[in-house]
Amino acid sequence: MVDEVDELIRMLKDEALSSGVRLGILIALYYIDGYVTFTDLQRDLDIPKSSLHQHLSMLQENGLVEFKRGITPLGVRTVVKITNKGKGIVSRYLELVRALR
Amino acid sequence: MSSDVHELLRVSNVTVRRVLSRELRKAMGLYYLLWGTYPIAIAALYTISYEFSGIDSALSLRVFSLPMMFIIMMAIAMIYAFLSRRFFSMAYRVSRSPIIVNRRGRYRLRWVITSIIMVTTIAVYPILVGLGNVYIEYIPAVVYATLVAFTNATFFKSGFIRARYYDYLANASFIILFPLSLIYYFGYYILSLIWIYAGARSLLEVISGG
Repeated sequence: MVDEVDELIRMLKDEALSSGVRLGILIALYYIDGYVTFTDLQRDLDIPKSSLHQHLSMLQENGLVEFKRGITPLGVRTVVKITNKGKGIVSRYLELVRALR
Repeated sequence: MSSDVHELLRVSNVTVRRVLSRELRKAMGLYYLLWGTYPIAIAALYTISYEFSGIDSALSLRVFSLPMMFIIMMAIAMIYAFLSRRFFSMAYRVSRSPIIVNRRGRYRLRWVITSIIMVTTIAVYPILVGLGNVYIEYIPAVVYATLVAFTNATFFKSGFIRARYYDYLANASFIILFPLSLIYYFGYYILSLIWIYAGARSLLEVISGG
């Protein structure tokens, strides 16, 4: 139990996950398991474009999400998708949360 | 845990909830819209077979004692299931999430049992049709319709999205009209209209931010 709490706190101290918004975006992308457009994400969260861009850039720098222009049914849009590394981290995070319950 | 960590977890939960509530509703809307067109696709197939006698005779063939028409209907259903894989995948992941509310029981076991009963129901259906008694055909149709509604309800149990009147309408109409359509074919078209309506309302809810 103590080990799990320690691991969770260590995980959350990582620069990329030290913000609730970034952690939330990463978990949501894990559940969606596909791409989400930047516009949709901004509308969902109701935060300024610059803030969202900053959060996503930070996640991308750490290799947790892919953030690029892509073709969608509605045309070319900026899309965000979780990477395998990101999936691994969220999966471990959820295991820890499950264990702590 | 420090209050900083608590605050971080609180903000992350709020963020997950905000993103997923809209994305799940969007997936649900597309799912309603897609399956709402299924009876129309089957009707189109019947119309084509009626117009072209060559196709009609091909459809009346039997393959391994199964009618060709049934095989084609199942193939179309598989294509639809493939197209709605994102919905099913999200529903499954969300239902197993440790951060959802109202979580009860063993979800993996429930999903496995539901899937087995659904596949068995579909497999048994042509055998029961062969018996020639429409009332016996009712049984798998009722079981199947109930399981589909039960699976859809998983989305609402997660607490990420609120069930609206059009969700109740779509699922209740499916339980009632799907078995009834075996006798009254127009039931499929009413079902189709209700599901397309539910899909459109769901997407409007996402656009309007409701």
